[in-house]
Amino acid sequence: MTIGGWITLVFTWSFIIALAVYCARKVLILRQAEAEHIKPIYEIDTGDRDNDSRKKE
Amino acid sequence: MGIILAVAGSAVGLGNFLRFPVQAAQNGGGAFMIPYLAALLLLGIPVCWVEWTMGRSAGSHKHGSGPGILNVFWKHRLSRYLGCLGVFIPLVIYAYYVYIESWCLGYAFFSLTGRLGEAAQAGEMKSFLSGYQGLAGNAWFSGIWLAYLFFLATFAANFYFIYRGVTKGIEALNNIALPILIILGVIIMARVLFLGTPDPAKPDQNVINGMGFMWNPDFSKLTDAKVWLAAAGQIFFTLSVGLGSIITYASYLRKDDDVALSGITAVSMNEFVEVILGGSIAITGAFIFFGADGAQQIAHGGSFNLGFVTMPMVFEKMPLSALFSFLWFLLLFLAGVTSSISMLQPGIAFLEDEFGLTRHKSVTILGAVTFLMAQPAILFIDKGVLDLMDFWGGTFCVVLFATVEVIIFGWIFGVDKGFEELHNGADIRAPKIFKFIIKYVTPTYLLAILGYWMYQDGLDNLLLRKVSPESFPYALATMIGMGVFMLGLVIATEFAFTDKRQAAKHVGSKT
Repeated sequence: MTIGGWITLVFTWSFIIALAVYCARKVLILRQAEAEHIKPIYEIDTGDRDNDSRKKE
Repeated sequence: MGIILAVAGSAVGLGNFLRFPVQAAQNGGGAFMIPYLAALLLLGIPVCWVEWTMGRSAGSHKHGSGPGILNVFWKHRLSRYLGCLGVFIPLVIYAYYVYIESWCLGYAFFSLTGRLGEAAQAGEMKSFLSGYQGLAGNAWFSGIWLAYLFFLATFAANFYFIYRGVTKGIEALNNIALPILIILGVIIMARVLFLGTPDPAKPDQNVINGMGFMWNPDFSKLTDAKVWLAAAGQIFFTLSVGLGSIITYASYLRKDDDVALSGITAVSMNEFVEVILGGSIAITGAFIFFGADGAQQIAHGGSFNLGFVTMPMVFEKMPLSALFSFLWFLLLFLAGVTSSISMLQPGIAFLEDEFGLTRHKSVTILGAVTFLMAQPAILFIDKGVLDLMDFWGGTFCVVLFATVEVIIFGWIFGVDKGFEELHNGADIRAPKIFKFIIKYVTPTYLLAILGYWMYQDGLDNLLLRKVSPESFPYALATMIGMGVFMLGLVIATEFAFTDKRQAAKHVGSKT
């Protein structure tokens, strides 16, 4: 592995780990009410339990 | 903590462990990582925010698929036609993705029965995979029928879950299963990194050189447009942006739901799994067992092959290899199920929102369409049909759709209004530099990639000049089939919107 390889690896890993830690920290310090507005994509209710088209408020 | 695990679980799919290593290996290892990182920063993150924002906003207008969503932001007929890409892409990807997903189920089964272990011990995994795919008769397989059986089971399971409305149950299961997959990924990564030099006769095939293959930058490849296109395509594929899925899911959000932190958290978790785990396991493993040329050869053999050839050989170097192998492929299968179900959602939303069909009818229609579309990918895999669908559906059209979205968001809707919309209910502020990036950098970057690729390779690809004579009829039929499907979506969209306009006029004249 060349020096360039190590630099690319360290830079990329550092950036990705820093981004993940930043986001995780931001989510973890949210109050309960605020955290309910964070939506993991597959937990969004698409109304798949109702054989009906889109329900909207 | 549950929310982090759920986000991480949602972010993991076959793209992380199976597609990414192949893309990296096919495009020169280290040469791929610079365009990949650039694409993450300048395309993936901005387009992710654009999609979450556009989707949530259009949802309040009762539109949840590409044609309707783009038309909310740009009241022009062309927006609806281009928006059809948001339905076309996920369905084309689904048609072959569900087959790859079924390989995971098959490999989990063969891990349990011990058949996979026999091949891994003898280092005959390439032969095992080609036998499973029905490309060659060998000691393990005499045809494609077992693979087809696993495909049918997987396809039926997908549609059962979505028809019966139990996808939430699957997602709850995945909230447990996928974090385990990530932990398992960390264990396997550790094992790969301590493989050393397994074959003393080939001292060059060691861990450090394997890492070098993945990370040593090769600047000469940076002039190749295909590498940039592949990197952008992989970023979009893995983050599920530019596919039509995120924009559809976001359309079901409430106005005060956060999209800024939700989006970037999903990106960060996905990248952690893909680059740090996915990148360290399959590519390094492939290099150690097959060398640089061997790894590239396997990667060129099929868009998803590398992980299926390499992973069983890594497991063979671990204690309880059959158990690890079974768990790995089963968990990967579960990850694939949620991803493939999400690919059907844009099609369902399209039929529900634009045609007023019930969910059951929409699912039934999609079941029939995608089953037919999957057949060429399965039966003519040796003619490159699956790879062709992956290139046009999973790379080119994704980049094209992302270009359309970001131009509409940044230039037609307006980046200032868009940023305001992004921050409604947001738990973080997106850095202001992203206004500039979304308006200028991302569209220029995407147009440059598309333009440069068209100049370098576009005509050759469109005219199928690089396809071998025996594969040509199959490739041509695939291209025509995809074209007809896209045209059908455009015509259907035009009918749907004409009907809606007439209905609105009718109501207007009555009042």
